[in-house]
Amino acid sequence: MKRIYKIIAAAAAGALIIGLSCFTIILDAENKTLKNQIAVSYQKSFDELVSNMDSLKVKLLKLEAAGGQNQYSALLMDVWRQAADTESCISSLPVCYQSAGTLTQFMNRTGDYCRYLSGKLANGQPLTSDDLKQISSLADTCGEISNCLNESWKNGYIAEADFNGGAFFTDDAKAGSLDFSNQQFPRLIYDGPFSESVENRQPSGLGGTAVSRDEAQKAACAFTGAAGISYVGDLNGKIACYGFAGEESGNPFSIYVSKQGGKVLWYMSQRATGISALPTKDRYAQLADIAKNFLKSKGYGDTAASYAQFYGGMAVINLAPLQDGVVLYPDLLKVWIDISADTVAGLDANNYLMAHRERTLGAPALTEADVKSKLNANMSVTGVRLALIPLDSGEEKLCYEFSGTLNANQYLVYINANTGTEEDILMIRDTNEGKLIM
Amino acid sequence: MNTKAVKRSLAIVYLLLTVFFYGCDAVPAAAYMFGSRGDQVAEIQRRLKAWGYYFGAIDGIYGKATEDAVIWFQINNGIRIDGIVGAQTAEKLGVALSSSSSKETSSSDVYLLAKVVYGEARGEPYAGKVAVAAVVLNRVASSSFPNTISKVVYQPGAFSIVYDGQINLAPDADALRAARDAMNGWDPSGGAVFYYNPAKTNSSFMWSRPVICTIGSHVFCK
Repeated sequence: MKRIYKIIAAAAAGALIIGLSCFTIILDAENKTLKNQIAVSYQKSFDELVSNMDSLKVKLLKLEAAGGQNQYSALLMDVWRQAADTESCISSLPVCYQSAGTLTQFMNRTGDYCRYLSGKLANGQPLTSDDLKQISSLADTCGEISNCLNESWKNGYIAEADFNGGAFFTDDAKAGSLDFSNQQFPRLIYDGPFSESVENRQPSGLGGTAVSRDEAQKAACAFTGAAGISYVGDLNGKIACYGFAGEESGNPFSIYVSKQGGKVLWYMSQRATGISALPTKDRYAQLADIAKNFLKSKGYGDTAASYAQFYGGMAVINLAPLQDGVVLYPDLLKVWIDISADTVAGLDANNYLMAHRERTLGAPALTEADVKSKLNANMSVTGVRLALIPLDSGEEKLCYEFSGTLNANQYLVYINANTGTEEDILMIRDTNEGKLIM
Repeated sequence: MNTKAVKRSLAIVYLLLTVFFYGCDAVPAAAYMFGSRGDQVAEIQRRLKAWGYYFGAIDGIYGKATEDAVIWFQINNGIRIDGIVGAQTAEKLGVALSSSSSKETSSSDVYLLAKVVYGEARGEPYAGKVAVAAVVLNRVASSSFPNTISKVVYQPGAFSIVYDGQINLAPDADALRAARDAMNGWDPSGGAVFYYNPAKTNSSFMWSRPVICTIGSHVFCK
């Protein structure tokens, strides 16, 4: 009997081992297939990156060689497109941040710069010798990176590909298979959304002097009307602030006051989430008035409500300050209103503190009638006013803002009030959460 | 192997949840319409009044004025127009119905952002949730990162929730609101492009970044 048990036990153990082995083999095969699929998609991005970088270099060299404006604008647009493609390839590769970040920045700036040059060309400004020098240094850098990528490609980049996904924040930039931590990148001088000058822009709306924490606390008390406020910590961002928290009529709130000038960066009181539904037009007008009165009482002067979103029981209203009737979009303020309670629940003044300053706008050189002819002939205009708008380059332009409709779509068209140039076109879209400006 | 045990515990959790939700509220009706009465009707009237659709008294009686207000609300909010507070209208108005389960809709960008917030920061204070969403948007705006929300979120290795599948969890109302607040420009992170949980990170790269602020259990940095 005992022997039978032994045999059965041995057979069971054997079956278990065979079963487990089969199971492992199947799992392993599945694992390999999945790994291959991932590896293939990485390999594809990498191959594309290698060839894109090489053709970018070629196009930049062609730009250097081109003699006429025709080729300039065609090649510049091509570089812009290809730089975006290359940036896409980088963003889908498992590379550590130190390498991915610098390469992404290089591609973003290269594309951005070429788009800026093409815009200049379109406005009749030819490329300068400085521009061509910058293009030449871009071509050199693309060449260096391309060589380095080709080297990795020859060594079989994918063999080193990291599958655990933890490679993004390595302590050592060289831990990844692509190392660009020592690559020198040219400094581009231009004005575009990704340019150094725009990214390093400093706030102009703070003014005044440095305030102490006590003074900031007093400003926070004055703003919220709450007596018991406590310091919660600093915010060391572009606009350095002291943070405070308190409670007002049962709602806990946070408020951040700038260390320079003692201005409110944001104020937000905690409210329960409510419904996301559009109010009636009349009701919206009431809510916008609450926001305008609030801003006026806080010293922001007269404002014009521009557009609003409605969600979570809140109306988030965008308001632009007015100067002599001109709408100052760079200084856009955002006010949160609790719709059920008719009270202000929050304010975001980041744009205002970044952009606001004393401006001399001056009278526009062109009249409304002068520039109206620049509009699309099929657009039916429903309104016009003067507005100061921020451009990608960080500049501000005084424009006539035409509200109009074309094929049942609503637009805002901005025509420079001094030069007559069509500076920007925005489309207004009605969504189930309010108007979106795109 | 122990699927039975799993199933049983799931059933218990489900039961508890059901009991919990029913315990919270009196059993609601399937729809409210002309002639309905009660606290829920009063709640409907209160919401309609706050949003500008109803001017009558809050009396809990679903009369002609309430019906007109509901119709106006349905027209403005793109809901089927019938003057009845059924599933869709009830959800928009935030009033519970016995059979309502549909989810709030939003644009794909907001939804993806809300999924990141839910996956990364669902236990955090509200400002901490908005800050996580703001970090994604700050990356989109930065030259050192990709230029769309989905490219930033799915950049290999950038967010651990993408690998462990938490990115696929359905975000809750708080996460959606946080995503929208961040899209509207509120940035409690002060312009941060990185954040980490000091209790869970030993990456010296992260620790070396200049700190902007701490919210809840996350440190936000440049």
